[in-house]
Amino acid sequence: MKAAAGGQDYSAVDFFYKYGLYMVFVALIAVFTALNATFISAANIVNLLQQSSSASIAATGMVCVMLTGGIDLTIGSIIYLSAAVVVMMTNAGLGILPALVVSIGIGAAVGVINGVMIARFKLVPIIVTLAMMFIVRGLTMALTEIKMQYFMNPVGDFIARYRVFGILPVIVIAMAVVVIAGQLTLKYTAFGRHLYAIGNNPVAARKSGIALDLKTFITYVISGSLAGLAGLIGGAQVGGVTTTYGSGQEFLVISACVLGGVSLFGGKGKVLPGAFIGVLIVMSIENGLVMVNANVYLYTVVRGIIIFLAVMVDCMRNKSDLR
Amino acid sequence: MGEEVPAVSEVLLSIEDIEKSFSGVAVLECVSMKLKKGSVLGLVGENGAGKSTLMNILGGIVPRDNGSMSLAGSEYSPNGPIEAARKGIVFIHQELNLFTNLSVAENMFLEKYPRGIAGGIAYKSMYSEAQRMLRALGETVSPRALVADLPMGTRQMIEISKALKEDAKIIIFDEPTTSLSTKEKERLFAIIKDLSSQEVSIIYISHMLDDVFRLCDEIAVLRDGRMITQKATRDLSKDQVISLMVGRELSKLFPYVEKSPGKEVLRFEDISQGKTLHNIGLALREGEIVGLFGLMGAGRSEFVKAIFGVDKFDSGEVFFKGEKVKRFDPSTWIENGVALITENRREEGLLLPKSIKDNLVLAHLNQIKGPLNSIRVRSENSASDRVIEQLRIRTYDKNEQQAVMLSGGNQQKTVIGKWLLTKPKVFLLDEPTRGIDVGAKYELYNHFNDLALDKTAILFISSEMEELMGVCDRICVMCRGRIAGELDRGKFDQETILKLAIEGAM
Repeated sequence: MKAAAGGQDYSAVDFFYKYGLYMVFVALIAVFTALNATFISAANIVNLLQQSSSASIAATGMVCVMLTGGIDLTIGSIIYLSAAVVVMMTNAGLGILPALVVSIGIGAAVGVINGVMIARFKLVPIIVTLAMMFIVRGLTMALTEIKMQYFMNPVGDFIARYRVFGILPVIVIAMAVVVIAGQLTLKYTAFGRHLYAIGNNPVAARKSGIALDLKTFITYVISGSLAGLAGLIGGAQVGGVTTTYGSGQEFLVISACVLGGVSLFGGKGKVLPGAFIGVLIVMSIENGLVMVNANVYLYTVVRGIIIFLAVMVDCMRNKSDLR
Repeated sequence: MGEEVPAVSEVLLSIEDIEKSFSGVAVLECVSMKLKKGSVLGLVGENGAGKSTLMNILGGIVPRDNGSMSLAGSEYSPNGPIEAARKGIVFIHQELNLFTNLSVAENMFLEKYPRGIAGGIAYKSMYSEAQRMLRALGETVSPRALVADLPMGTRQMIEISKALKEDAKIIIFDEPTTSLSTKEKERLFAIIKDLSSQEVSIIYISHMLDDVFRLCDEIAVLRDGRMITQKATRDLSKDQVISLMVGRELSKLFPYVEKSPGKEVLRFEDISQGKTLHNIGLALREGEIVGLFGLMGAGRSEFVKAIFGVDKFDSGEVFFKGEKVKRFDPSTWIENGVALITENRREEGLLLPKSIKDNLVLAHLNQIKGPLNSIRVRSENSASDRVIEQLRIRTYDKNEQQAVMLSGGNQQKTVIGKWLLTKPKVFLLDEPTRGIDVGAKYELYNHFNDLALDKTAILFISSEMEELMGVCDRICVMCRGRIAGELDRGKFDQETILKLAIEGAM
């Protein structure tokens, strides 16, 4: 009976939706710092950023897809495929620049297939990308003969450890470039604004002459390519790939995006600060759990809770929009 | 307005012998029409007469099968809405084509954003340009405002300034006033007149004949896919236009039958809800049509939504057949034979992508289920056929045609048909005739009468006073969340009702 008289409360709810993300982030930092003071140290912050690089890069692509109302479940498998191929090729003598091109190219290729199925043949994104998730993982397993693959060359080492001026890790710079470029594209290009339009009202978007199919297609290619890059970076950090590498990464990235205010219903969200803060929150929870020596099995539970809360808040936010 | 037309007006657009059919059903047959420069042409016709199709062809949204069009003397055949817009023909749809998650200016410049540094969108100049254009229309909204936060009238102004930005020669308005307040409507009319004096031609589609007669220089009537007439407004009368639209003389616009109301079925006492509703008391008897009138924002829709359990209310009591109602949720009401038809039929009343049959039997599934809760296809078919025939829903295939493909009036009939099947004891109708044409309205009134004769109690909410006066036995008038007064049929009087609605007292 009180809900109807919610006119007054709305501003408080609104405030939470707007700044809740930062409140949660600050609260988290406070909690982990209280539990272990080294959490806030410069070394750990750089460490956290490094750990977030791969997911942030993948999240940038995911935001593009999600803005149109789609979803990309293949990214975990792309990360696995790209890392595995790059490990094997660099071990065979491939240099760093070709490795970069190969990793992005592999992701783009998977993205093209997703995009064609979804934009051209009008199949449902969740089904297409779910199927591709299994196909790509299966192919990679065949390719690696279900063996672990290790970097046995300087390329992986360079990506994982090189620091510009001895301070900034190269992967953190890569992440910054991708995330900033992603946000600028969304905000300052017609393509970016059109993604918001498509997610908000696809029928009207088509009537307004927005090349809906082409743009939807491109988002999957972007998402795939960035996942490929994320695979290269992540693989180098770990030093190789195991058969479960990258699995579940898509849900981590999606939940980080949703947590950061990117709507599952499309048309809403930003790479910066939104999705990026979302990734930092998820990663600092994982990082924090390690630092306070939490039970390993707890990680998965916590991940599940994060996904649940993120989606719940997204649904509530959308409900209040439909007032 | 007839006097304002220059003696010799040049023809800007001429449409000749347009034909179009969808899945073998002819929607337009040999339709011809001429539009003069700077004139306002009213396009009227029943739902499904082909107005939207004709305008979609003009706006480049669907291609024509046959016929020709010429714009300013040269051949015109657009291959899409973009090309149509480039040639100066802009279509402002009934459901506005705005993106609620973008700002006003972002919407206005969606097709071509101004470029700035490094080819990026130049927000600053876009905002100032948008502001200048909105000001030119007398609109004071900030170009940075999010469309989601704006009222319908303002959104329409955004669409209009967007059209003017494209240097529109012809602007097509499809039912522009359905969601506007009276004040917003007056502003729209002033702007339309202003545009026509600047040599912009207007095609104005509406079911509100009063508006059409007030605004238009010429009127064109479509019926069953044929152009019946196109004449200067001064040469036509409202009755003439109505009979041309319907193709038969309507003896009366509103059929009223004498009824003998039975015992009370539903009674509301002191319903209050926050700041919107205050101590509302109302009773419905069997076989009675009660009108609920009020201006925009009087709380009519809020009231039915609250009692039906869609929203909540703070205090008050409801008695159904003499018993106090404890649970307020739609499914309990429906089980008890109380149906609500909301004003947003597209969003709340229909499963748009589903077939007409599926929509019709949706609330009736419990009655037609067989063993193991399976649906008996035969009863499903016979039930839906019965309603389609009874309400004369125009469909070429009830199994295949999606509800979204129906015209507005037929959609409304489908919603009503859905509830008819459940044989409701109480029917709560919120603006049931909004946006549908005279002929379809007349049919609906007849159905309401039949229902009432069959002992159904009907609460008829409307903002059209004439229809309430025409079909109701009693009218309750709401003003600022209160019942301002109640009038019996013998005492209906426009002035009294309006006074109650505006001032809240006589």
